[in-house]
Amino acid sequence: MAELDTIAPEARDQVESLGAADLVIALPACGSPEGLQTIVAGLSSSPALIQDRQVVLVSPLAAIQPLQANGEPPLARPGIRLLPYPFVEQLDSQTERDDLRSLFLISRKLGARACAVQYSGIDPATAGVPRALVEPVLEQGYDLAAPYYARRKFDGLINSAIVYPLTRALYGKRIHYPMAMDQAFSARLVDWCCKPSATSGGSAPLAWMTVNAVCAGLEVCQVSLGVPPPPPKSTPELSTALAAMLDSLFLDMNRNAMFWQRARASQMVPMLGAIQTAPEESPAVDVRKMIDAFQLGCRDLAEIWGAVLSPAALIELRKLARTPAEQFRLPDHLWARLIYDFALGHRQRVMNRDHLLRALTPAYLGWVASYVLEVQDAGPRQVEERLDRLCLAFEAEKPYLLSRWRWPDRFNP
Amino acid sequence: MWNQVELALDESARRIISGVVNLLPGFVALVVALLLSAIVAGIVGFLLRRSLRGIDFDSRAAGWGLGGLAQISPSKSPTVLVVRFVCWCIMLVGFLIGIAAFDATLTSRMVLRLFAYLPNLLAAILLLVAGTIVARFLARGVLIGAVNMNVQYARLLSLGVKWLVLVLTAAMALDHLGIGGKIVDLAFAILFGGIVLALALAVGLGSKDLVSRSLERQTSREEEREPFHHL
Repeated sequence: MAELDTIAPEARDQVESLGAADLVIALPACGSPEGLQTIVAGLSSSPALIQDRQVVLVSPLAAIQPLQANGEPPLARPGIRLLPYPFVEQLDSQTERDDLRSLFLISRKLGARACAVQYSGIDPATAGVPRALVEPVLEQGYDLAAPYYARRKFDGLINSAIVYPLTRALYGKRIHYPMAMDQAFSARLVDWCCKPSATSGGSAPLAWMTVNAVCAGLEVCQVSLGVPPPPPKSTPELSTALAAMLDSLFLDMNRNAMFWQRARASQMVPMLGAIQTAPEESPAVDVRKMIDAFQLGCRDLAEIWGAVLSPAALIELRKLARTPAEQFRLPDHLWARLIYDFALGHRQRVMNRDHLLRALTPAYLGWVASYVLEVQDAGPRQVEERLDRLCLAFEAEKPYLLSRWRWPDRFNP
Repeated sequence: MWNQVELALDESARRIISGVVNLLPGFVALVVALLLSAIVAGIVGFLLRRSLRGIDFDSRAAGWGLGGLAQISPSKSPTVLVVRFVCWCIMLVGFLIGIAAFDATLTSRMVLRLFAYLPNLLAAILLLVAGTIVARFLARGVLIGAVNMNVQYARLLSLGVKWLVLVLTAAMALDHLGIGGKIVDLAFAILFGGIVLALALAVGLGSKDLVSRSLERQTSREEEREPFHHL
């Protein structure tokens, strides 16, 4: 039990009492009996999945409603038991990842074949998410099931602008939502994440599980889940969110440099389930403010951008800042180089990393403005094609990143 | 009479010679101390230069916000500046040790006072370096934050913060050196108070619309429907 030291003693005792399980599903957002019943109903819709299998649901509800004397939860279904969440005393953004590690340790301790987590809210529309994610892992032998959402053109813009194109170009796998929190993992992947790394000695960080799975050479699939869950009501301020996201992404990039330097052109990842299209409204978006923010950034942050960007990129950005609003278009190659330059600046610590990443915000708003102007009247297919072109630009510029990564002091016009 | 004059001259010549002879060991000691300190300074300078180049101090200094250091340093290299500073410090210490060898009360007292003053000097230098780093760090943070908040006078704001910290640092350094006495305190209080008052007035008068707009936005945020989501 030494490996479960990070978990609260009560939860540890309950894990001991549970003995073994086949499937562990964590539902941090499920705080009501109705929500739990909804999830159980969702799992029951595929009887083969839970028949003769011991399932452990990890939910805050278990902390409120203690287990019955015989260890069975107040649920209609036999074979499904509860474990309290959280496992640690306090939860902040850092411990939430620690929580995933604790979940992995518990899953390992129980000898589970699969483990899933659904951070998004529970409602009848999302009741089938754990089942849909777990099925490919248990039945088809995948090691990680990542969600694939029906894209709305103006949702998840950080993912569309940076995270997806960058991870696709670096790691060579087209996983559309690498930053999605709802995922399912095989025992093999859980083991890989828990064992100490040969290079660093510590376990792999869990911020980017899709990247971990790809670097471990494990099988990844995408599961079409329809409309994405609504964004949380209290989201952090844009530059804070962007800096936090990029910091963990770039740190992973540093850690996995040996892997991605060898990866070549991207490959498709198996898609399970029919791809759906989200109902799309086309609201008129005023891009003026975003262009203003970009121009202000160009004017006042030139010194900071100059520390990481090449002179040619700076000139292009300055030229763009003088372009009239209706013709405002940020070229894909320039955007790809800009992100690569910031990744290199982050690696070389040219300045305080938080400052550097926050300084990207005006440029990102410039990209958003350009994207909005391009796809405002476009249909889902055109949007998909547009984002695919962006991804191809990231792939085409990868040699530039490789060259500067390996020889940072070489002259770079 | 002539004999008496001769005697007096002999006496004074002897005194001068014995004075010179008394001074000679001290002088030799001074020269030796200077020579030794020059050798030590040379060795330390060589080793320091190699290690600073090894850790790429020039670009690191730029990363720490000490880009200005390159401007004032010889050959535009902070490494050379640091090496020369350390070498001259060693030479100064050697000189003071050499002076102490004269065993004159005045020089001893001077040396003692100089040595007692050295910590203040070092503290003042450290204060200046730390203040410059902090000033640049804060100025950059304020600049980025203000630009991200779409504040048009972001650069002015950042410059204000930078100079506030620099003025505070300079006042603290002068206070440590004991230069200026109360005048520095008084001047600093007036200057600092003036800058804060000017900033308060500028922000208060110039940004009241901005603040009210921001408050309005805060209260009506729930009603607003963003057409796009970043996360």
